[in-house]
Parts: sequence; structure tokens; C-alpha cells
Amino acid sequence: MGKELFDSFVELREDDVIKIVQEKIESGEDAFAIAETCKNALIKIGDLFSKKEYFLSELVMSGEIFREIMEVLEPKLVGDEKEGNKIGKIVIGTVKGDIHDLGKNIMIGTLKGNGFEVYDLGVDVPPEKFVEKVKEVEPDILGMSCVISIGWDSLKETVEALKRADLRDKVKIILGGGGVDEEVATFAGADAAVKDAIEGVEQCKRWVSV
Amino acid sequence: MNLETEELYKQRKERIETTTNLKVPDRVPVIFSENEFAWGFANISQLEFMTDNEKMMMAYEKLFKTFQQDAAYFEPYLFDPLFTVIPVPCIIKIPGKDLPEDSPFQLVESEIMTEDDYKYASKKGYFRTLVKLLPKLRPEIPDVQNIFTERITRTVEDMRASSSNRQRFREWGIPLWNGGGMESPFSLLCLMRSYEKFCLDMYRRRDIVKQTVDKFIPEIVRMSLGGVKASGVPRAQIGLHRESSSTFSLKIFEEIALPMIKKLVELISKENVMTILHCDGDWTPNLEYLTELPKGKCILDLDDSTDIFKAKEILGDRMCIAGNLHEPLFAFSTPQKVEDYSKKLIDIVGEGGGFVLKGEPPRESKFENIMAMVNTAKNYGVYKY
Repeated sequence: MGKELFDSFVELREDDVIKIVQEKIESGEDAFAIAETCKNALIKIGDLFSKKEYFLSELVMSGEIFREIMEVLEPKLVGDEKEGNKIGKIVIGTVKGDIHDLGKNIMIGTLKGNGFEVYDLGVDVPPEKFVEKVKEVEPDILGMSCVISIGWDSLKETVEALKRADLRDKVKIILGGGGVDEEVATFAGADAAVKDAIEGVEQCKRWVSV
Repeated sequence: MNLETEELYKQRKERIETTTNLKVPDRVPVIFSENEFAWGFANISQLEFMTDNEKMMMAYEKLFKTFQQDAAYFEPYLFDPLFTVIPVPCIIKIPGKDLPEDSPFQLVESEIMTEDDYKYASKKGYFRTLVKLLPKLRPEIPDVQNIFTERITRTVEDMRASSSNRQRFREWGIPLWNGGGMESPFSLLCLMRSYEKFCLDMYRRRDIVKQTVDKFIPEIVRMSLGGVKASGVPRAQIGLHRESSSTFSLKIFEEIALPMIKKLVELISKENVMTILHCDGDWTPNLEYLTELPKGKCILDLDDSTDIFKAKEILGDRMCIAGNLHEPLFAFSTPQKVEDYSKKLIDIVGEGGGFVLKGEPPRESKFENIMAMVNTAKNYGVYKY
């Protein structure tokens, strides 16, 4: 039965997945074990994405199916099971001057599915707000999204602000979004720039040594 | 028009036409998108460039006279917050109003069209759906549907202004790269539904998505050809911002986007107009599919996400390719690096003709980097056979 659920999820057969999860819950199966099967399916979907067999549209669909599954499972999960084991903490936002949030939201969904605790600051986030949140929650990683070139200076200003607050050495900084690449990362003083959510999550996992 | 600029205009026009027809011109043509760099270069604000015709034209004149590129990438239109909904059916944030004066206008992608609207859209087409959704798209404009339909019937004046701007381009010796164009039906639907909802639609209601895309095609062709007729330039640009492997799977591409592209090209080329496929995102895995398009009827306009060398290998004998100096290269690099990459493009993609050197310099570009690209085309891009 675990395999049937796993396969249905990997093949993104939404109706089948939800039906199987509901049947399992009704027959008294452990909700935590069902959630673990689904998380493994998400990891497999990420692998298929890395191999270019799946694309962003499949990641979005898998995120939606996972959300629906968790709606069914959450009332049955107890205590720490609701949160799951967190592997790292990340503060994330789209930089000042830029209001795009599509890629950032996909990244957040992927990070959560992979066990990260995520603090989303939204869009058009000024440097001081990033600094304030980093100070408050002491994350392992700061993620900044930037889609248009107007955000390049904001990236640099945020890194400078972290330096002034003596926080730069305490976090790894990852950049994402259509407007960034290695050259922009070097300009801004970030640690990495990634092309997509899966590459981003892999980089974050390496940093927290998972 | 003086003789010198008239001659330059003819030379440039011919250079582009020879290239887009897959023949070998005297040298590789060079073009770049102007709108991000022109206003700063002319010391005016982005808002002035977008809303003041004289200032916009002054900025274009300075740019063209300085760089002497082979064509204008954009048509000389002012920004119109209402009519921008036609190619970009999204809520927008406007510089000087919602954003700082020097910001570009930005989209807020949200679910403007609901899943229930598909039935209407698939029967009534794009334009009527757009009018239906206008109160959601421009909530700040009271009675927006009536204002929109009234104004659209008075576009003759706007067209006159645009025609006068085009005439001035010509007087400066600058032809237009594209004569008209529109966003593709697939991308329009994606923008109206929002990317995430449109992904879910692919799994939950793919049939009606396909029907709606099909319904939109003739209208989009008519709109694109309308611009071509007004400008007299036989190239129509179709914006393909959401079709690539960066956003949707190859299966979805194969089933919905590819048949749409084929139909668009077929209908546009019936009018002896070439389709510029403006391809955003990574098209590398999609390139093989484009071999199904008719030879010599399209131009592949690529950004740096696609492997342009692979594109040459797969499609070089079928369609002209334009591309692909990337944004950060203009801002953070050196003239030498720009020259090196431009030479590589000219050597490989320019082999045998059918190549336009193109870049998209951002506002932060260094003058000397843009100049390096233009000069490399002019000096190194000369065909010796």
C-alpha cells in the first residue's frame, strides 16, 4: 500500500493520492508513517526534476498535492509530528525594489517539503528588515530573491547591512530569481546564486550538512 | 531625411532582411533592447521616458546616434496603464504612483481569471474575456470597461503619434526590428490565471485550457498583423514567456504550446510576415520540437537561458537566430569580455549567416560594454565570403 501511495504521488495522480490517504487514515494507519511516505515521494520528484524528467510545473503540482495530503493528515498528527524534524532554519524574502514572489514561493514550498523551518518576509524587503529578522531568529541561511536588475543594489546593501550588524559571518547567503547569477553573487557578496528551487534546496542542505 | 541617413536606413534594413532570410549579409547585424538603458543615458527619469513623448524620443535619438545599431528593438510607444492590459493582463504597479519614479513597472501575478471563467473564455475569445476581467485588472479606474471600449475606438490618434515617432526613427536611419506583435495565447492565459493556478489547470482541466488557447489564436494573429500593417515592417513578434522548459514540462509543451506555435506561424506567414519567436527561459530541451516549423518563416529570439550554440546546431538551417548577451555581462563585466563572447557568437552562431547579435542591457550597464558589443559586430562580424 505504501508503494501504491508513493507511485501515485510521484506520477502526480492527485485524485488517487487523496483517495489512498483517506482510506489509510480510515483503516487506522499511522498518519506520521503516511506523511513520511509522501515526503519520500517529494524527494523522488525532486530527483526527477534534477534529471530534467520533471519540470517546474510538476514541482508546483506536487506541492499542491502535498498541501492537500497534509490537510487530511494534520488532525491525526500529534505533538512534534506536526512540525516534523527540522533540518535547518532559513529567512527568505524578495529584496527592496522588487515585488516578484513566484520563484520565492516555490522555493519556500520546496524548502518546507525538505524539512526546513522557513521565515518568509514577503516582497520589497528593505535591508534593515532582513537584518532584524536574522538577529531575531538566528537562521543558518538567508535567502534573497531578485528578478529585476533594480534589485542588484539592494542585494549588496543587505549584505553590507549584515556586515555592519556583525551578522554576515553567522549566515550563509543564497540568491535566487531570474535576475541573479554568479556575477551578481560576487557583486553582492553572497555565497551562492542558484537557478531553481531544487538546486537551491540542495545547496541549503549542503550548508546544514544533511 | 538626408541622403546619408536614408542610405544607412536602406543598408540596415537590407542587412536585417538578408539575415532573417537565412542568407549571408555584409556583416552580422547588431541590436539591443533600449528601454532599460536609454533613459538613464539621456539623464531623464524612467517615468519621463514612459510618459513624455518628446523626452522619450530625445532619449532614443541620443541612444541611436551614439551606438548606431542596426534596428530599434522596441516600437516607440508611451506607456499606457490602461492599454498595457492587452499584452500584459495583470495588475501592475506603476512608477511614480505605486513605485519609485525610477523603477520599471512591475506585475503582480494573481488569479484574475478564475477556473469558472474558462467556459466564457473558450467561447468568447481573448478580447471579450479581457474586457470582462477589466474591473479586477484595473480596480482603480471607475467604469473601466466603458472607458476601455471608448478609448480603443479612438486609437487612431495614438497610431498617428506612433507613426510620427517611427518616421523620426527613419530620419535617424533606424529601421524597426519588429512591426507588431502580441503575447502568445498560452502566456496570456498563464498571466491571467497566475502561474501556480495554470500549473494546476494542466492536471485538472487540460482540455478546456487547450480549447481556450485555440480560441485565442486567430485574435492574437489579427492583433499582431494589425501592428505589422501600421508599421509596414514584415515581422511580428510573439511573446513566448511561459512556454519553455523553465516553466512547463515537455509533455505540456508538446500537447498545447507546440501546436499553438505552429498555428500562429502558419497564419502569420500566410500574410508574408515572419514570426519572431521571443523565447524567454530555457528552450534548450524544446529546440528539437521547433524543427517542425516551416523553414525561413521564423526568427528565434533567445535570452541567455537557452544554449544558443545548440540552437544553431539544431535549427540554424531553418530559422534566423538572435541573441544572447546576458544582462549581468553589461553591468559587471569588461569590454574585453563582452567582445570575447560576441566574437564567439559571431564565429559559431553567425557561421553561414542567419544570425543577429542581440543583448538586453539593463539600466546598470556600462556604456563601454554596450559599445563593445556593437563595435564587435561592425568590425569582427564582417563576412569575408
